[in-house]
Amino acid sequence: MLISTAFGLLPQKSSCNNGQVLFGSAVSSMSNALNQLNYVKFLNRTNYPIMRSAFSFAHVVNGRDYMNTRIAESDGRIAKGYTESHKLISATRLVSDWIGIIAQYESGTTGQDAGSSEFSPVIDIEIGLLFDAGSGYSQVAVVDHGIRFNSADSMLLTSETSTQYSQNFIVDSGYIIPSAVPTNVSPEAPRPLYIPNTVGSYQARGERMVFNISCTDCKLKSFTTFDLYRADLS
Amino acid sequence: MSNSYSATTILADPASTVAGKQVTLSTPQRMANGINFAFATGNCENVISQAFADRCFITSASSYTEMAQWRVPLVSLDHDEIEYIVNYRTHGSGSGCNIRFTLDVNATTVVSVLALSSTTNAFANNNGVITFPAGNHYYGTVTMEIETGSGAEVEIFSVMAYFKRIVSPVPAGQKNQYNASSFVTPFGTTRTTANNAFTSRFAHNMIDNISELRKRFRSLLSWSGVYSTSSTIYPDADDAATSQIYIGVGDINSLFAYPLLPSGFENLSFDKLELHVKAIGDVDFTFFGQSLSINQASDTTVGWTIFDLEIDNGELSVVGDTRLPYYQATFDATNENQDNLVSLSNARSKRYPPAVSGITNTADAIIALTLIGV
Repeated sequence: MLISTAFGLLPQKSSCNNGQVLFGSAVSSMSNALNQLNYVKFLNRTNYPIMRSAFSFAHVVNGRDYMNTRIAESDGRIAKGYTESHKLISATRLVSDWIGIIAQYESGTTGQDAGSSEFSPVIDIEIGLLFDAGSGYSQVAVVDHGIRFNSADSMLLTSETSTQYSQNFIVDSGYIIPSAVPTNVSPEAPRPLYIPNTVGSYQARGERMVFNISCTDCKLKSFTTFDLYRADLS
Repeated sequence: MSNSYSATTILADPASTVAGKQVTLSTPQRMANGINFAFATGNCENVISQAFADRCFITSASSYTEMAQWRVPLVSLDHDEIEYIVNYRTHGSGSGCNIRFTLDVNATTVVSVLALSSTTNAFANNNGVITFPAGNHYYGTVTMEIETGSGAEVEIFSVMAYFKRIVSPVPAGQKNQYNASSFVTPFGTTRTTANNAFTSRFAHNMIDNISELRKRFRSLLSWSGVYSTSSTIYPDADDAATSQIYIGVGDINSLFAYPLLPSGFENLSFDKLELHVKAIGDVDFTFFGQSLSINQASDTTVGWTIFDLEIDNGELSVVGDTRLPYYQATFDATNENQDNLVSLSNARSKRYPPAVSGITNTADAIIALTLIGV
């Protein structure tokens, strides 16, 4: 059945009073509105801004190495071969399955300037299942071995090199849900990530997931997940 | 009569009750199940999500010191258990390190302490159960404090919190979401599973329930400056402890939230998109297409201000490839923001806390913000 994205008008309550002739459309609009709640409004979302150091080499000359703020969109200071990793946690829904992601990043430079070699930015994203057996959470299983963004998948480089300042770019997994659940055991081309109902003996949906993110030649600036909307459910 | 739910049977077919179709009991049965599910589990997701890189969130504080503060939307006045999960490591001796989270709802508080012992990347978690004070409440304030033992330092990589869902069945009785005078009525699924007549009460309660659940807020962006970083193990500023305290011009068009604004959003007749801002003194700024002003008693006054945001869809841009109308909310590239947010030409030389009078010290700056929306 089709899932309406809109907050549709609800029936007049008086039309459902005792003694009224109740037509099916009243019930139909109620069930439409309820499906909109459960499959649109309450779709899970997680939005992580990633704070970076406010230190700026460029402005130490002002005697102010603690800027205490973000003075530019760029963080800069990315050397070729730079790596970082993040573990970002999400409390998922009992009906979370396909998850789209949007990642904001800053990368290194192209080789246009003879002073630097071209960077090869890569972002790998994997989902792990967290479980607390009584002594705190730890990752007990890989839920989805995940996806890899690289230059072949639209990761961009900046052309500026002399300033060591760059721009932020965004990549996303898209919303095209694959016809089959993923079986890869290493990161593959970008697609929505998948949470099965169970992983081994563990319940997965509705539990805490950790997004394990590894970055090479780039810095992650923000990371957002969306339970994907599907217009037609059965 | 049990107010139970199952995640596998929440999809009610709107086409089963229209003209020409035989009315089946499965539609009201699933609607009852679906409303219980929506009330018990809807928006039981992250209310705090923030991550930190570059050792920028590190502290050697020897006693509990406030590090950050967030506003969080409540799920309902029945969702009373919050869980915090932190990804962290300790440096040095690694002993005596704790995080203390305090959830404050209109001066009623609950404290949760997380013990940190790992000297490698690890998780720590704990819960807190709050007894909500009487009255209407839809948000709380979470304060994070850290203490470390002698020779130890704590480094935080990410922080999340969420309110736990109510497990099936939902306890009997009417449930207040935010307002003490309006409520959600869970449905007894034993009765709706029976092949009996459709009652007027069912329809009245269903309409009220849907209207009430549409008001439920979620956290769209939770950002706090990190206030009191310090490190003796990494004493150089380029190594560690240079956290961002104030919102700056670098956050323009890069600190994002994605509110969902589908058709019909503008017709909802209640507060549906709110920006909560913690500031020192007065700040005029532009966010999501609106010019907003914070006016406080003095330039050392630290407090939260709430803005009810209006939407002008024509001026907004949709973020791509999510299949739903998620819009991009951020500090806009306006002269107001360029002039008033902290920058090289409008710098703050002092770190908060404490608040120090004077615009070159700590005054007139934003130190935390949360965007919540339905």
